[in-house]
Amino acid sequence: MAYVDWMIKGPKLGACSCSYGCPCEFNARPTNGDCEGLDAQRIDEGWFGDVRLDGLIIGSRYRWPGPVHEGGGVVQGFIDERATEQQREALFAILGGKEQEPTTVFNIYGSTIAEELDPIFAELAFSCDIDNRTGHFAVPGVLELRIDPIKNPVTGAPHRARISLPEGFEFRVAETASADFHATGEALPMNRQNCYGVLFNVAYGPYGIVEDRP
Amino acid sequence: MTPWEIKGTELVNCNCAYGCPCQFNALPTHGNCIGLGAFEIKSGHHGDVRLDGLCSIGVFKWPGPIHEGRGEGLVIIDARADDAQRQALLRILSGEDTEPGKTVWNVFASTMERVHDPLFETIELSIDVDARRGRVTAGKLVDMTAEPIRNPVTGDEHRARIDLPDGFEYSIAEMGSGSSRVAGPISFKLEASYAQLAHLHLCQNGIVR
Repeated sequence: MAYVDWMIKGPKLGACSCSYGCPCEFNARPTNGDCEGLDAQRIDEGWFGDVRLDGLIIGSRYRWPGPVHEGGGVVQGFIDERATEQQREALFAILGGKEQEPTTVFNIYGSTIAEELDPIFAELAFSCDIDNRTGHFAVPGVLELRIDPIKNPVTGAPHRARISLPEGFEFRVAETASADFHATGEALPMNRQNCYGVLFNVAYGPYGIVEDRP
Repeated sequence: MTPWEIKGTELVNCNCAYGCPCQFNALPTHGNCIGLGAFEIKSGHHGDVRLDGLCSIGVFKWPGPIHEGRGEGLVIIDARADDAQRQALLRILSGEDTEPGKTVWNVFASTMERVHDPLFETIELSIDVDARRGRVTAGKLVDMTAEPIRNPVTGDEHRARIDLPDGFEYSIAEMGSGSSRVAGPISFKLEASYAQLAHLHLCQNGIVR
């Protein structure tokens, strides 16, 4: 099938309520039974057909009552307020799983969502240093995520552990870290400390991860 | 300190969930740690003693996370090893002749409260790291198997690796699903839990990179 040509490429941060190393990455069950978290990506290079997406920030927060693959998820998207009407339409198409295979990250997660809350357009703050495992993402007044290195419980030294998923649909290699996040709002409030954080560079396109771009 | 160097493959199975949180310095899935690791030396030596082709198994139990100590351990050594080889293997596996904290055996040794006398047994071992499959037996003491993790939706094999650039055991390990039956002084059963398959290359200073 022919799709509109698109790609979004850049650093991505994620965090969830699981322990460091998130068992779900290995197809084990989530640490606490349910799954709650967020992600954010800065599009350093991106386009959807003729529409350029460079420099825009996107994110989401989500919750599933059990493991992700059992469904019933609630999600809310965050879109950079600097995005023009055309860019917003393009981002909605990509994040909504349009113009892409059913096996992309957006369609796999999308297939587990029962309720989608109205997106928030805001001045999003995003920074990260993947090699040093630090990151920050904020939606002013709504949500804040901080990522720092995991510490060795005995020596206190930073602990470096990567997850490699050679056939992964979200990332192929990721640095793991320690995440703190809180979010306000009636639908998806959150308050978590010292849980799974993840950082990676990735490029997505209509057929999934674009291998040679990151 | 006698210098040594060994290259080989390992298969590990513990009671944690797939992806063992301990690899990331999180707490073990069920609070405690029960497991075993088998290792085949493809080539290696300890001082002047050649260790090529020899196998060993470590069986372990801790009441909490490993770093909190109070562990119990047992080493099973390949019955084909002669006296010099047995002594050499026991020194390496007990964390002797090793820079502190630089091998998994040295780290584990520092967490042991009780170490059983070593046992010598015929060890049958086949480990295919890339295929995430393996089987290890030691007489009536050990029967451990590993197979690929399956995707819970599609049933397809799931390939996931853990990569520890500063690790003291492996640099990169393939994840599998392991099941074991262990008898003897430390006995337990594991069913479809964490399995790790890796190529090891270690010496007295830790991983050879």
